[in-house]
Amino acid sequence: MSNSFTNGRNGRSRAAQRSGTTERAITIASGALLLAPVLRKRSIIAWTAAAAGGALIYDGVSGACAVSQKLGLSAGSPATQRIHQSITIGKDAAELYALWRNPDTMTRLMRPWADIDIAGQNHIRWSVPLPIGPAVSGEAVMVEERPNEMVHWSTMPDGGLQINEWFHLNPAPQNRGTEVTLEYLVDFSRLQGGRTIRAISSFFDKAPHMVIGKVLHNFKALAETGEIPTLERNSSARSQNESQVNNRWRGDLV
Amino acid sequence: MRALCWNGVNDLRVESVPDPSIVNPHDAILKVTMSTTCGSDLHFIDGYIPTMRAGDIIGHEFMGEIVETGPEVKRIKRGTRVVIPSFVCCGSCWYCKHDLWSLCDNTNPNANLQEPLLGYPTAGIYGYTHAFGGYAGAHAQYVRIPHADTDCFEVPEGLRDEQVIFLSDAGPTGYMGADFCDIAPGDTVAVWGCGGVGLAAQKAAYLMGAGRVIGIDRFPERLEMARKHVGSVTINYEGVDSVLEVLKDMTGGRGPDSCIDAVGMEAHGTGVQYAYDRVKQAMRMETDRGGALREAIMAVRKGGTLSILGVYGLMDKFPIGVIMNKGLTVRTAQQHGQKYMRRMIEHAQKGEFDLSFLATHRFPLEEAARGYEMFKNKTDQCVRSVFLPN
Ligand SMILES: NC(=O)c1ccc[n+]([C@@H]2O[C@H](COP(=O)([O-])OP(=O)(O)OC[C@H]3O[C@@H](n4cnc5c(N)ncnc54)[C@H](O)[C@@H]3O)[C@@H](O)[C@H]2O)c1
Ligand SMILES: [Zn+2]
Ligand SMILES: [Zn+2]
Repeated sequence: MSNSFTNGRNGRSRAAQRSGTTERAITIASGALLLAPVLRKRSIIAWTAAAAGGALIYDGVSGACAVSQKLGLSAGSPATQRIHQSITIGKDAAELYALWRNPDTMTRLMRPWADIDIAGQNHIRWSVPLPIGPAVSGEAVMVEERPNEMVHWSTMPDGGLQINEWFHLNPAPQNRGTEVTLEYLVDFSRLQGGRTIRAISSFFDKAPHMVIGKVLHNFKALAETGEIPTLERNSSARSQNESQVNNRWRGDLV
Repeated sequence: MRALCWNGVNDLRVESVPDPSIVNPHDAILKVTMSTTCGSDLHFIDGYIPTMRAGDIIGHEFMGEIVETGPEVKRIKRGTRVVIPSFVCCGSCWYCKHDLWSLCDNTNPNANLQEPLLGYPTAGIYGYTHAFGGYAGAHAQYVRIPHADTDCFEVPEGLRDEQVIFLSDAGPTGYMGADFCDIAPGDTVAVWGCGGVGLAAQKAAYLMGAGRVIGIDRFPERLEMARKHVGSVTINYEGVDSVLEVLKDMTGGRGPDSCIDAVGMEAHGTGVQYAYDRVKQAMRMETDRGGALREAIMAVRKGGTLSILGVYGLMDKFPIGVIMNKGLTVRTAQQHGQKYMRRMIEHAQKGEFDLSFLATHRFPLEEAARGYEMFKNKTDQCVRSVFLPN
């Protein structure tokens, strides 16, 4: 899989600014520390820390860029961000296209992060619950589709957070099926405001990276096996009482 | 139900946890009749492998009886007695179809947690860290088995639990390790480690045509097992100046045709390199003490095969130049149990691959923490503790 992105504000590829090993180790470690409390508590502070922690862990393992830039609380978030990632699935394009366009598939794939309401074949309402205050929500419509090749969705501009999503299909060599590429363009420029909003926007700044890989892996599993691997109702002596939101994010924020 | 849970470094406790239930359509629920300890568990019990969480149920080597099946389970029926490889595998992806089962693409719910560490994610394992999926483990009364039709293997009549249990993990690991060596009739194969995995590898090497198998360890009872139950020649590395020189003497100066590492990241050793590794590992500056592996790399003949079964994380001072200049073939993997299971069961039925001698100590599940303690410290010559959860 490839995973690259560019920072729309300064126009430079962040991949070009990969951080060194030591800094990366520190980043991973402090990310893990920030995350530790949220696995137990459910306060706004813990949650904000978790958002930053998840971001730091992500940056640590990907070595994407400097710690200082990352918290971003004073500097604000980048205006736009474009990321893409690919996965090869052992099915032909027609089958994958049909599965992707099935409304039930979108609901299932987004379930770890967002509730999706199907408003029509080409129109959804989405909402991301937060530990306090109202959920962040909005609507999205399908902008363009080319059967067995491409689908483009976009959130409505009034949503505050502007997200464009492209789904591409290309034949894979050696009878390996189809190469599926998912691409997101996220515009944060409308998300301004107080400290909480800035923390949340910094959280959403990282969210696409966590979402994109999981959506692709889960889509592949669904296509190849008919189910998505899950830890739902996993027997364990702990963590049964975590909040809904923390549960939702747990897969990425262990 | 009751289950053995990890709570921190060297802190295992049997606790009450929720019963598992069918979640996905290809799931089954297994009532565990027997489960066992593995050297791999020691690595996270000792704190050298990350992404464990307090409350995790551990255990990945097990068997039992199917008590419930999901709507898409067609082949395996309720009441069937089965053994299950430790890796959860879908049976449908490119890797499963190419017999590379532990690399399955579709069974790790935490794929994106593991991907940054390895480049690409692997299959999930029962009870073995969140990077490897976070699935509840097998030292429990019941376990949820995803993809039951692919991963459950029916146990034929006439085989006792002790004869079958090790076909779940130690058996296929050793069998695969010998298979990696492409043994030519009469070859000499040296195996570092006479734990469950090393002994299984030695037995499999003979089955595949080795002329002589050499087992290396320091515990007299384990070396005795290698001689008595496998027919190996043995070396107690504490009783010799240099394992390398002894192996040269035994092979007319050529070296073994293949060397199998069945020790892993917590190798015991002597000398300066061992002291260096211990300090670095204790400071978490490297995860591995790789003494056995380095010795195997030196000992194998030129152009020979190095088969690595021991589990490793990150190691520095790795002698890649020796591998390169000697033209070695290196083969390694987490075990592909589904590939070997039918063959191993046939061998077991003929009495050719009977590993029941590994089960030196039996405990009810309630005493599982003590079972691990004894397994770890080799108390009372313990080689494997087996648990009877029901
Ligand atoms: N590849 C896989 O799929 C897989 C599966 C199971 C286990 N494993 C790994 O295989 C290794 C062995 O597992 P096990 O269950 O047999 O463990 P074990 O702890 O029962 O046995 C390990 C043996 O190695 C011996 N040993 C230690 N240092 C040595 C040295 N320097 N030279 C020779 N022998 C030495 C120990 O005395 C012990 O008898 C572990 O690292 C385990 O994680 C891998
Ligand atoms: Zn094991
Ligand atoms: Zn698979």
